[in-house]
Amino acid sequence: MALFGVGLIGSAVRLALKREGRLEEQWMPLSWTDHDLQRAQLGSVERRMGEWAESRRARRLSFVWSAGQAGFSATADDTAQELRAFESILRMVGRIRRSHAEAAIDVSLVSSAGGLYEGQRRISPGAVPACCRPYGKLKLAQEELLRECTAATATRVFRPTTVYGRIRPGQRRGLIANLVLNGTRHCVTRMIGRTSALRDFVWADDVGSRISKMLLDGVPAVGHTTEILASGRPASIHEVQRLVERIVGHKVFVCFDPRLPNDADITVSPRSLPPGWRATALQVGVQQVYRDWLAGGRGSPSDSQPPQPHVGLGHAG
Amino acid sequence: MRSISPNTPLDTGSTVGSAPLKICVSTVTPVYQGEAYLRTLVEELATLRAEWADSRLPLDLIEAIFVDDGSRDRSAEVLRALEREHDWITVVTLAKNFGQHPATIAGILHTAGDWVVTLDEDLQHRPKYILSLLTHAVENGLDVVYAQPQEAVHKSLFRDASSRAYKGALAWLTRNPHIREFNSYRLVRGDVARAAGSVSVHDTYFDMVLSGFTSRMDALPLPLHDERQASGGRTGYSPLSLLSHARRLLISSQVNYLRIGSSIGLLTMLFGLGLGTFKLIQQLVAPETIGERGWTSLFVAITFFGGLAALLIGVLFEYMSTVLLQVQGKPTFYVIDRSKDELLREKLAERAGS
Repeated sequence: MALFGVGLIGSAVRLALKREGRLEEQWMPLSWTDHDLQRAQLGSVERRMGEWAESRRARRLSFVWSAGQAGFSATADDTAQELRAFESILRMVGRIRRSHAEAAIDVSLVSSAGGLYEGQRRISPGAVPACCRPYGKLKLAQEELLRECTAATATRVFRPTTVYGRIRPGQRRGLIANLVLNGTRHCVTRMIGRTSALRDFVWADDVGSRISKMLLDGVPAVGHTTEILASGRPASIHEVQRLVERIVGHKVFVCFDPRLPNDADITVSPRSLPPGWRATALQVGVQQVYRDWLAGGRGSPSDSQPPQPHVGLGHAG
Repeated sequence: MRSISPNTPLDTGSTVGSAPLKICVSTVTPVYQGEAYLRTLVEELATLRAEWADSRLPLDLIEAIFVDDGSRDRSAEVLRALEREHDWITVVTLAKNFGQHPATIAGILHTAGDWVVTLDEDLQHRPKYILSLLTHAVENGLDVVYAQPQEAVHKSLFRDASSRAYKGALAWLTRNPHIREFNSYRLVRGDVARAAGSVSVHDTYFDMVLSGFTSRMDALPLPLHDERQASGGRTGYSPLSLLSHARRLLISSQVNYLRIGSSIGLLTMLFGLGLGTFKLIQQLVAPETIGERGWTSLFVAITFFGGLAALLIGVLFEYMSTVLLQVQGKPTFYVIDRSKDELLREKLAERAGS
């Protein structure tokens, strides 16, 4: 298994796999900016995956793309670079397929419901993406590339909504992490958009567990699936702010930045959630963020991971 | 595999052009012992939903949230069946019976509509009047519209009269005239409803919290009847639960009435001081006019120190009220966007003109 990107979701996937107790891993650097170096580094990844395929230790070769430097406010240039990187991965998968025709290969993409459905409420199973910004268009393009990837036996697209997770040094932080962190430090959090904006917050560990379960179970064995990973319960920014205040025990200071509009509602109908999926309640998740931060924010020793960007190669068996 | 060059515009053609702007409405219904009425209620909501879809009004009934508040009859089974039949219905199941206001708040916190309508499950509140509430709201720039019964709702003179008297007394004590209008059939602007819901605590009277976010409230007379009593059933509320309701309204209220105690204390203290001063002058100037000895000084001491004690307790209550208001979630300020009302106002005017 090759896990590209160990940010909020990637590290949750990795931790979920480690909790299964069957993961051996090694880290390999991967450059975003130096294309020649990136090509060489991908070559190393390709060789390693090829070795596993030949040794028949791996029942299946899995590739997970949870990488991304481009955020919600990324420009078209930022997203173009990321799309190129994803294309390189798929080309690598194609080469592995050609040299190991009998190998079962699956590719999973962590997409974004927020980017695809920005401005839509009660997103139903049949909802059509309507991307409003380059980030959403990037995700849609990545999904299309994946669907057209004939080298993979099975492909999966995961569309999480607004993901929140533990506070980790060096990792990008979302609204909830910032509110908890700044709340404990009595610092001001800058809010972009309006406080009545609705989001569907989903706990990163839930996303990681879902992805790892499907990887380990090999579901689907053949074909394509797309899943929206959300809680099905909208929450306003105002509600989140009050919740954090109750949890940290005092007022949380905020200021509003009207320059960058990010106030479209994004909510998901409970019917859009995949079977067997159970989302952690927002109150519980935010409590986890807070308690983990109070405990030093280090988590368990097994949480240690190298700085970004890296590819995690693991063997689960 | 299709190759996309770095210069390829990231417009895959799969995006959808912007859909016409719609004003989304959510309904919230707390359910307790309502199995006999739920199907009819859902049918009426479905009819309204279809009417709006066919009309030229920019309205969409996007969801109906039913909150199972620890029902002991077959309401839960009926709700599950209805949820399977209609994809716009969501059922929220509470762990136990929490009460109407907590259940309403739970439902509101699951909504995504621009407007939220709360209505009871026993057909006392007919969905066909939702458009009337909306019209009244947008035409008058309101954030909350309560349905006001045109005649006695419960056919129980005692219940209706005592409810009116109690709310009237509280409205006078708290200087909040909207208390008289409070009704569980209400239309609330979505942002305001969810903001109020998010600050509510376990003993909150929801409408009092709403009052903290907006003063743009009004009532609209509508024909409301207690179908449950009319069909020979018992009202959904026992006398004990009604008293609990009344208690919750009192303790969620603004604390102006607490100042009455400190005002009385101050006046009493000043009276005692004034009387004492008068008697002292009388003693110095015309002692022969004083009758009984000792009684006056005792009276002055009691009024002065009693008044002082009442005043100090009142001051203590003032500090407590600051904490209470914070616990109740009264906001320092709340920013609102009413711009979408213009769209509905225009369409309603067109409809009225045609």
